[in-house]
Amino acid sequence: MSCPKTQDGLVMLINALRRYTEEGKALFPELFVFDSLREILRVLPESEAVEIGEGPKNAATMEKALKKCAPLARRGWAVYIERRLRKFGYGVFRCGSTVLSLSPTELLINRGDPGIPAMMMRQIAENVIQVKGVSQSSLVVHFGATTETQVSPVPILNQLTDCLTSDVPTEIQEQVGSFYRTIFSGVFRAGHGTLAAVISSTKRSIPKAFRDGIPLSPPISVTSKVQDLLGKTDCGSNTQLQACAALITGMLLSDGITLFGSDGAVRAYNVFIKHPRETTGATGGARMRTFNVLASRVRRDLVGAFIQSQDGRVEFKGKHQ
Amino acid sequence: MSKQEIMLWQPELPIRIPATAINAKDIIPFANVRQLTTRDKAQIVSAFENYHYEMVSSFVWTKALSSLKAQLGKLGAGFISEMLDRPDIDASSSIDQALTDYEALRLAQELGIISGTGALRLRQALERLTHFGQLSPDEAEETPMTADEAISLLRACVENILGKERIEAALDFKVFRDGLETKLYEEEDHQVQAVLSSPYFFRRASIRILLALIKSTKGAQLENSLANANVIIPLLWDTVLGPDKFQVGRAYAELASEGKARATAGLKKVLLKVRGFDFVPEDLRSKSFVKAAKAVLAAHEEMNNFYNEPAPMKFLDEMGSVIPTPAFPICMSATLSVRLGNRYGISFEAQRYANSVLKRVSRDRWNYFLNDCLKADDRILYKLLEDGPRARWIEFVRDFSLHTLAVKEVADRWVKQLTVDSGTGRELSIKNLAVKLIEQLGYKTD
Repeated sequence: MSCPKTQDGLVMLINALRRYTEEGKALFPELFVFDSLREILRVLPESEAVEIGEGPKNAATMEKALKKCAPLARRGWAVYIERRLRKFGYGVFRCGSTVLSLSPTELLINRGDPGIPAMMMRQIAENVIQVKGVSQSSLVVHFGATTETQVSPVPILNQLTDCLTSDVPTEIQEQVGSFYRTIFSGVFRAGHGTLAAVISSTKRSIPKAFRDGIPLSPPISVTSKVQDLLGKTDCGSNTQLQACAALITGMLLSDGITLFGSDGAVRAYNVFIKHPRETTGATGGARMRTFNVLASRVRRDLVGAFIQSQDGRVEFKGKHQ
Repeated sequence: MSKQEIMLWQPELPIRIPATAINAKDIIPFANVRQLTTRDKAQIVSAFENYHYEMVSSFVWTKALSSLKAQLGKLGAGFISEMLDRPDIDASSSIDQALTDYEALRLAQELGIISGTGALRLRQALERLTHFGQLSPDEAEETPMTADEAISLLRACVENILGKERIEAALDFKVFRDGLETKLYEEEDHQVQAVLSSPYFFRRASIRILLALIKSTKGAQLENSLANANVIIPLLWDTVLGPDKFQVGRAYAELASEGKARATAGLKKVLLKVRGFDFVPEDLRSKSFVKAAKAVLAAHEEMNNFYNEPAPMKFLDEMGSVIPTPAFPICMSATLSVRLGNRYGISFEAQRYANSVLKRVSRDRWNYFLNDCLKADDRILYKLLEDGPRARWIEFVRDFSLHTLAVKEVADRWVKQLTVDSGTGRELSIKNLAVKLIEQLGYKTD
C-alpha cells in the first residue's frame, strides 16, 4: 500500500542510517516497517517486542523512532515502525532462542511472503544502505564517491560462506553458512577491514606460506559446535557457539589474515605472508596488495581469498571464479 | 467399501496359524528361522513343557519387540519422532530405548507392518505380560500365568512378527511416502483424494510424514515435500484436530530455531494458507513437558508400572503450573493413564501427583481436552473398554464435573454423549461410544 508519509520518512531514515552514531558511537540498527506488529510476532517463533512510543503519521515520528530505538537495537533486537490507522507506533522486537535461529530479516524479508508485507533497511557496510521488501526487490544505496564496480557486499559474502562451508556435512551446511554470514556482517559494519583465506579441509597442516601467524591447534571446529547445539538445544551449547562467534569476530578484526578450512574450521589468524618481488609495484594499500597475493594462490594452496578494505570495498576470489 | 473405509495402504497379512494349533509345539514351527533360531525354538517348547509360562512369555515378547523396533529404527529417528509426535526423539536416540512397546505397536499398525487385529492382540498380550511381571513373589505363587495366556501371547507374536521372514512397512505405504518426496501432487490426484477420504489416522499420518520429510530432506526432495505439503495440508486442515495442528506449528518453530531457512519458508506458506499461526508455540518449552510425559508413559506401559510411575509423575507435577498447549495432549494422556491405571489396578503412590496435575487444568483446557484431544487419544479410549479403568474414568469425570461442562461446551456428538454418560455412570454406553471413537480413528477394537 503506497503511503506518501512513509515514503518521506524512508528517505530520511536511509540518510540517517548511512553512518548512524549516538554520542559518537556507531550503531547499526536494522529497521522494519510493517502494518501489524501482532501479525508479525505470530509469524516469528519465540518472539517478543517492547513498545517504546507512538506519534503522528509523519516523517518526524519515524526519525524519532530511530533515535529512541537505535541504541536498543543490538544483539538480535531490531527497530520496528508499525503503520497504524492514524499513527506510527515504534519499538524494538526480536525472535529466536539460539544463535542459529532464523532472524526477523530471514523470516520476514529474505524468505518473506507477500501475505505478510514488511520492509527492512539496514547499513550493510559503511555508507551502504540496503532496503528490501518481501517482493525480494532490493535497493542498495551507496553514499559518497562510488564506482560501478562497488557492488553490494551481500552476494560476495555468500560466495565466501559457500566456499568455507563447501566441506561441511550437508545437513548442517545451511546453519554453518548462516553463522558465518552473521559474523562477517558484523565485521563489515565495524569498518576496520579484514582479510580471510580458505584452505581445503583435506590439508592436514597449514601450507608453509601461511605459517607466520598464530596457528590454532586444534582448529576451532564451528561444525561440531553447531552440531552440538542442534543436538542438545541447551543453553550451554548456545553460549559456547555465541562465545565462538565473538572469538572469530575478534580474529577477523585483528591484523593479518584469518585462515579457514573449507569445513568451516578456523585454522589460524594474525597470519602474514611474504609478497613476491614482482607484486611490489602493485597499486593499493597493504591489505589490497596482500589480497592480490592471496588471489594468486587460489587453486594452488588456497580455495578462496577474501578482502574487505577499510573503504568498504569487498572482493572474493574462489577456485571457480 | 464406504467412503470412510478407503485405506491408503493395506496392512501386511499375518502368518496364518491353524486354529487347531493349540500348544507351543504346533505354533513354534511357524516362527521364521531368521527371527528365532532352532535353539530358541527348542528352548521355548521346553519352557512350555516345564510350565515356565511367565519366563517363556517374556523371552518371546522381548524377541518379537526387539525385532519390530529394529525394523522401525530403520525408518530413521526423525521419521519416528514425527510419526509419534515425540519431539524428544532425535538422531542420537536409541529407538529401542526411546520407543515404549505400546508406541512400537501403534506405529507398526499405522505403517501397515501389522494388522489392526494383530495390534489389538499384541496390546492385550503386552498388558498381560506387564501385569504378571509386577506381581510380588507371593501373588505370583498364588495366581500364576496360565498355559492359555502364554499360548495366546506366543500365537500373537508368531502370527504378527516372529513368523515373518522380514518385517516391513506395507508396500503401498512406501510408495506413498516415496511419492511425497519424488512427485508433485495436485488436488485432483487419486492419492490426494484417497487421503481426504481415509480414516483419521491415515490423514494424521500423511501430515506427519510430510513434516518428517520437510525436516529431513534437502534439495529437490525438500522442494517436492514442501510443494506437496502446500497442497495436502490445507486440504486436511479443517478435518484434523488441535493436537495435530499444533504439530505443524511446532515443526515450523523448530525449523526456524534450527536455522533451516528454506524449509521454514515453505511451511510458513502452508500456515499462511490455513491461517494457522495460532498453532505456532510461543516457545519450545513444550519439548521438556513432552519428555516428562513420555517418561510417565514409559513407566506406565512397561514392567513394574505401579512401582515405577510415582517418580516420573511427581516430576511432571513439579514442572510448572501451566502446561504449554502443544504438550497438553500428551501430558493429559500420561496423567490420565496413571489415574485410570490398567485392568489390574493403579499405582496408589502416583495418584496424588496425577490428581495434582489434573486439579490445575483450567476450564478452557478441559474444553480443549474434550473437544480436540480425547477423540484422538487411542491410549485413553482403549482404557475405556476395560472394566477397572472405565470405573475410574467415571469417578474422574464426576470429580471434575466434566459431564456438566460437556453439555454446554462439547461439539462432537459422541464425545459429548460419552462424557454425559460417564457422569451418570452408564458403563455399557461408555464402552460402545469408546468403540465408535476408536474405529473413527481407524483402529480395531475386537
